[in-house]
Amino acid sequence: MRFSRKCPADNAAAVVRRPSVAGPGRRPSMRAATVLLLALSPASAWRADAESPASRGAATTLPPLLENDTLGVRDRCTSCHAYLLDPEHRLDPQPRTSHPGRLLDTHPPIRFGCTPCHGGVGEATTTREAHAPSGCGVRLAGDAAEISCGKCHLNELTIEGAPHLSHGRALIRNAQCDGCHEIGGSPPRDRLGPSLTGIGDRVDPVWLFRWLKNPRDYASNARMPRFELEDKYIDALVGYLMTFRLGTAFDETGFPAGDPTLGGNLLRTSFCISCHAINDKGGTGVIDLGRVGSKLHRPYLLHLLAATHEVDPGTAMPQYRFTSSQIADVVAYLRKELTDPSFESADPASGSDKLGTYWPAESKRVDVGRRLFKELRCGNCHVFPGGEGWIRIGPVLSKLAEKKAADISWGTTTFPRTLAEFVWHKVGSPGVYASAPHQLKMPIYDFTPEEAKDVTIALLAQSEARTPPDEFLVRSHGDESLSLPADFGRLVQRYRCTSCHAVNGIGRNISCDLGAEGSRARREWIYKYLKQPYTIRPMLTARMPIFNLTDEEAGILADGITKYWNDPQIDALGDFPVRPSDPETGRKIFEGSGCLGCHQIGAKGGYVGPSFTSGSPVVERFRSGWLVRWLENAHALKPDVLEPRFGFTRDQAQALAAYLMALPQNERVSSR
Amino acid sequence: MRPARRVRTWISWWAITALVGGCSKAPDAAGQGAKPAPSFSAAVSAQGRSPIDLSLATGRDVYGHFCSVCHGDTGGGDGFNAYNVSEAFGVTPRSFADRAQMASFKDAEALMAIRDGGPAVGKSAAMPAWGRTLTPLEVADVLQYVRSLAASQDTNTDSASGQVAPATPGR
Repeated sequence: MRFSRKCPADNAAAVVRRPSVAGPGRRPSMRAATVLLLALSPASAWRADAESPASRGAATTLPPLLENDTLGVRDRCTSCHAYLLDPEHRLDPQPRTSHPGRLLDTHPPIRFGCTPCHGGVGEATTTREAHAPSGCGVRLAGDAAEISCGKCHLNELTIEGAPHLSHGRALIRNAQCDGCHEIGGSPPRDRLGPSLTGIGDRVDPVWLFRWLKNPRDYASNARMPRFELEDKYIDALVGYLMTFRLGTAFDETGFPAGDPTLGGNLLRTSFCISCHAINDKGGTGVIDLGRVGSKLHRPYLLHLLAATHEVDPGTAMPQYRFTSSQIADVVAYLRKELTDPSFESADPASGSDKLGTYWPAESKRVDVGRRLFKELRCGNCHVFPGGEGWIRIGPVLSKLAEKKAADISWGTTTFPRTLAEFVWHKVGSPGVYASAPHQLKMPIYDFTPEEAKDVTIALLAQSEARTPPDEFLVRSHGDESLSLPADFGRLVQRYRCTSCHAVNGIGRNISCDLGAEGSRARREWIYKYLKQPYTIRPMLTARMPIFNLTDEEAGILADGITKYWNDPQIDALGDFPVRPSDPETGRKIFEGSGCLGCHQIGAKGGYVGPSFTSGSPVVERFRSGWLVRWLENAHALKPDVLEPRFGFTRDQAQALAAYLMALPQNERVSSR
Repeated sequence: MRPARRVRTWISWWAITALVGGCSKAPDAAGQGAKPAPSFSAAVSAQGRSPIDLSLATGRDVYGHFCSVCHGDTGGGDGFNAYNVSEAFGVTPRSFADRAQMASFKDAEALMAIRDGGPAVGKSAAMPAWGRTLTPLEVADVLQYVRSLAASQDTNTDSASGQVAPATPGR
C-alpha cells in the first residue's frame, strides 16, 4: 500500500532537537537554516496543536522566494502559492490551495524548491511565463509531476507518494521492455518469459496456437504481448516451437492414476491460490491456473511437481514435498476440473496437432516459423535451445526525455507535437505511427489508457541529463540477489522464499519483509512455524504454503534466519526485564488504547491484527526487544502497517510488552 | 514475408479515442459533462480537479486503508471487523450514513475523535487516536470524505460529488 508512515514528526523532531543536522554546514546560509526549521516544524507543531490550536499558522508560512544554490533553485512560486504548508487552505482555489498529500513533509519546499518537481520558470514574474510546459510538452502538475520523481529516485520500483510512476515502472518491468530497449543503462535481467526448451513436450499445440493469437484470452493476467499475426504464420510458429523437444520424453511410470477429489483438497490446503489465481480468484502475480489442464500434458505436470527446479530452473515456484500419489491426485484434478471446454486438445501420442493445413509441407512450416521466431525476437524474453545473446532492436529509452519532438516521425497522425503525446499514443497503440503494417516491430501489450499513462510517466522520467547533485539521488537495491551461506541459501532457493517475502527489500512483497525476522521472532517459534504454518493475520487471503519441511530443514532455516536476517540495532536492545508493576500497567494501557478492537485475546477482539492467544502466545513468538521497539513506533519498522501510532514512551511500551508476554496466564482477567 | 496486420493506423486511432473517452477522466469529475481530449496532457492534468476533489480523493485513500475495516467500505459502520468490535467493547463502529446524525456531529468534535481517539470525546476506546499516524491534512481530508458518505447515502445520488459543507481543520 501507499501509506508509508515514516513519521514526518520524527524528522521534524530530530531537526529541532539537533539543530546542527540542518544547520549552516549543509545549508547555504543561516537564514535558510532558520526558515528551514520553521518550515519543517508543522509536524512537531501538530502535537502542541492538540493543546492550543492557535499555535499553528506561523510555522506554515513560506518566504516569497525559495533559494537553494545546490539545486540551482530561485523560485518565486511561493509569492502566489503562499499557503502550500497550511492545511487551513486546502479547499481554497488556486493559487492559495495547500499542497495535497504528505509529500512536502519529506520534501520541504525550503530545501527542494518548486521547479525541480513541477518544472516551469522559477524566476518568472508573470503567471504565463512561470507556468511554461516542460521539455516533454506537458506541465508537470497533477499526475505528470511524478515524471520529476524519477530525477532523483533513479531505479526504485516503489516510490512513496508516486503511485503512477511506481506502477509504470512495474509495468515496464513486467512487460520486459528492456528485452528490446535499453532502459536505465542497466544490463538486461534474466529473461522473464518461460524457457522454451522442451516446450514441445510440455504444451498442447492447439493451446499454443490460441495462446499466440491472444495470450489474454487464456489468462487475463498473461504477460506476453500480442503480435497480430495471420493464422498461417501463428501456425508456422507453433510448428517450429513443437520441434523444441527434450531428448527423452517425460515418463509417467511410478505415478498412480490419481484421485481428482483428493487432488482438489490438496490444492486448497497447500494454498496454491496464494500465488496462482484460479479463474481470476487468488493471487495475481503468476499465471492463472483456471484452464491449465488444457494447456499442459500430464507427464510434464507430474514431473514439474515432482522435480520443480530441475524441470523449470527459472521458476518462482517452490519445490513442494508431495509424494508420488499426491502429485498424481493434484494432476488428476488439474486435468479434470481446470480445463477449457471450448477446444479439443491434441493427442500427443499421434504426433498430429489437429491444426489447419496452412502449409504444403511440414518442413516449409517449420522453416517459416524459424524465421519468424528470429524476426520477432522471441529470444529477447525467452530462453530457447541454441539461444543467442540479447539483440535489442528497439530504440534506446534511457534518455527518452532528451528526445526532441522535431526528431519524431509522426506518420499520418495529427496529435499535438509533443514528446509526451507521442509516447502515450505509442504505448497505448504501437501501430499508430506505422505507415504500413509491416513497419511495426513492437508487439501489442493491450495496456489500458490508465496503464499507458503510467508507463508514459515512467518513460518520460528516463533522463540522463540529471541536474540534482548526488546527495539528492536515491538508488534501490535493484535486482541484487541474496547471497547466503551454503545450506541456508540452498533451502531459501529451494522453497523460493523471495517469491513471496522480501529480505531487506530484495524479493517480492506478497508477504512481510523478513530482513529483521531474526530480531523479531524467537528461534523456537520460527522452527515451529516453518514446520506447521498457521494464519497470523485473519484479514489477509494469501497464506504461507505448507511445505512439509523435514526437521533438519526447518532447523537450518530457523538458524539461518536468526543468524543472518536480523537488525543489530534491535538486537542491541536485548531482552527487557519485567518489572513487578509492568503487567498491570500494561493491561491498563492495552484497555485504554482500544487494542482489542484489532487484536484478539481469548474469544474476544478484532480480526485485523494478529491474534494474541490463538496460534502462538506472544511470549513464544516475539523477542521482547523487538516488541518494545514496535510498540514505540511500529511505522519505523513497517511503514505501511495499519496499526495507529500511539506514541508510547519506552516505559509504556515496556509495560505493554510485559502484559502481552504474560497473556496466557492473564487471559481470563483481561478479556472481561 | 512479413505478415500483414489486421489493425491499421486509423483503426488504432479510433480505438484510442474511444478508450480514452471512457477512462481518462478522474472518477470524481465523472458525469460533469466535460469532454476530455484524447491526449496525455488531458489524462494527467490536475485541471478540472477542484481542491475538494483532491481532498476527497486523499480522504478516500486514507479511509480505505485505515478506517474501512471497521466503519465499512461505504461508511455504514459495517466493516468486516465491526462485529468483533461490538462484541469486545459493547459499541458498534459509528455509521456515517445517517445525515441528521452526522450533521449534529460538529467538525471540532469529529476532528478530535479522529486525532485523539474515542476517549477524547467521551466515546469508546475502540476508536484509537490517529493524530500521530495521519498528518493534519489527511485528518481533514478523511473527515471531508466521511461527510461525503453521509450525503451520498442520504440523497442516493452520485457519491463524493463534493456538494458538502467543507470540513475545516483545526477549528
